[in-house]
Amino acid sequence: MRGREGPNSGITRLALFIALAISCLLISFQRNSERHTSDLGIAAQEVASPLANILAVPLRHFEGFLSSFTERRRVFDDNIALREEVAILRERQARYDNLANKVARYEAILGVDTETDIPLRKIAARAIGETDGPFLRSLLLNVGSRDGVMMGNPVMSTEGFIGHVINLGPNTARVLRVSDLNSRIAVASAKSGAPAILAGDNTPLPKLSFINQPDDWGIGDRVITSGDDGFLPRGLNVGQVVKGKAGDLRVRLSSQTSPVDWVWVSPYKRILAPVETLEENNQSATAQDDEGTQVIEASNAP
Amino acid sequence: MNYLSSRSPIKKARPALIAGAVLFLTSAMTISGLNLFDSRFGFEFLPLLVLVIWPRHANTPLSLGLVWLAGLFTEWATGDITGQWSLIYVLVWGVFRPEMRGTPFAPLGLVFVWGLICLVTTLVLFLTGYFVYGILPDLWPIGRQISLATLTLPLIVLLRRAILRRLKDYDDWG
Repeated sequence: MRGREGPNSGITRLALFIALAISCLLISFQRNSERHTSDLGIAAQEVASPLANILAVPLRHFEGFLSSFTERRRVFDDNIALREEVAILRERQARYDNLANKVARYEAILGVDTETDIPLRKIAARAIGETDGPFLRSLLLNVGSRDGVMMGNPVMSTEGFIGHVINLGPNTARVLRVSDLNSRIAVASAKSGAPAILAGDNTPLPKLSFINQPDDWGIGDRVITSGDDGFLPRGLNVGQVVKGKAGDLRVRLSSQTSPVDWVWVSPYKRILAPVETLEENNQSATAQDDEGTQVIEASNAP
Repeated sequence: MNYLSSRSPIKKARPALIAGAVLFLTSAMTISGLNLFDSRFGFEFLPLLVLVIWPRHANTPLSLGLVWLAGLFTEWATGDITGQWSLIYVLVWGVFRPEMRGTPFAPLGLVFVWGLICLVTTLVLFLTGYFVYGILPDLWPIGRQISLATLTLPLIVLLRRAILRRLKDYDDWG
């Protein structure tokens, strides 16, 4: 198409104005609404992921090359520290084995099952994209529904819980990180078992809210997923309790310490609420109607 | 083309299409980033570099349509607020495109324009984010994104110059 329109002719100005107005309109629709992804969003994610997959290889090599300098500088100090840590951990391992045997015996005597419901199967994935913007904390994984990933599945790194899957394509999955503004996770103190909600606020230290008994929470306590929301299994390592600047309780995330590259998805099947059958519903509705009629009749009686 | 000429240049579809394809490619790259010095350097500002060096002779309506769609694609790919990046791209393209500038690729002028673009983008991100989420943005990620894109700017300009030297229709890109 050829034309001799000036850079700021009437038509250009009008087209610009329309494009700006549509963009503003799209933004205004999202005010105070839940973040959800359209099919077009998932399609765009699927289109961009092969490029991100290709880009990830040289980028990770470049990061590795730069970090290797600092790693080499620290290698001797790290070696000494690790040897000391291994010696301590060997002794702890022996104690842990004894305790595990003891607990297993008690469980057998009492007939209880204290196992967490974390699935043993794990789906390994690579974080090919990471959005760490002013308002958004998310990851893009190179696995999707074809690999067995489901909506809401927890995503872990070697350090701990990262987030959960919020949208899913055939080959990609987007993960909402715990620190994101829209993230709300049911957590518990590993020490006291006290429940709370971990609310992301786009800071590295998400806030612990809805705490009933503040005494049950101490600085340094380990925080795990409680499983109360039915979406996540109980017992995933989230982080440690720290005191915020305003004196409130916050969590230093275990997964925040290092950049995310390889992760795994737990194909956890969410616990669904029991569904009443149609007959049961009808029966209960009829019983309520009968009671209602009786009450009305009784009130009308002289 | 003479800048003071009263006649506007002939607008061609090919430069717009090629620039649009590069813009889409960099938009797809926005889902990636670099982890350096325990910080994340996102690629969100890289597509803006393409807008800075947009061909002057590119067809205007076609360019506008491609720029707006690339903005939408960025939002969908990154999961950002829908309309945010398309607003930024259109605004940056509409105000700062090379044909609106006197000496579009003079080094000092380019740095000045890039500074303005970063300022406008930050302001729009700030306002739209506050409007939708009701919280103030974390400015550190934006700062890191800007610094990475700023370091890439000279490379992009040199690359553009090197490619243009090999093109027969140099005037269409100017």
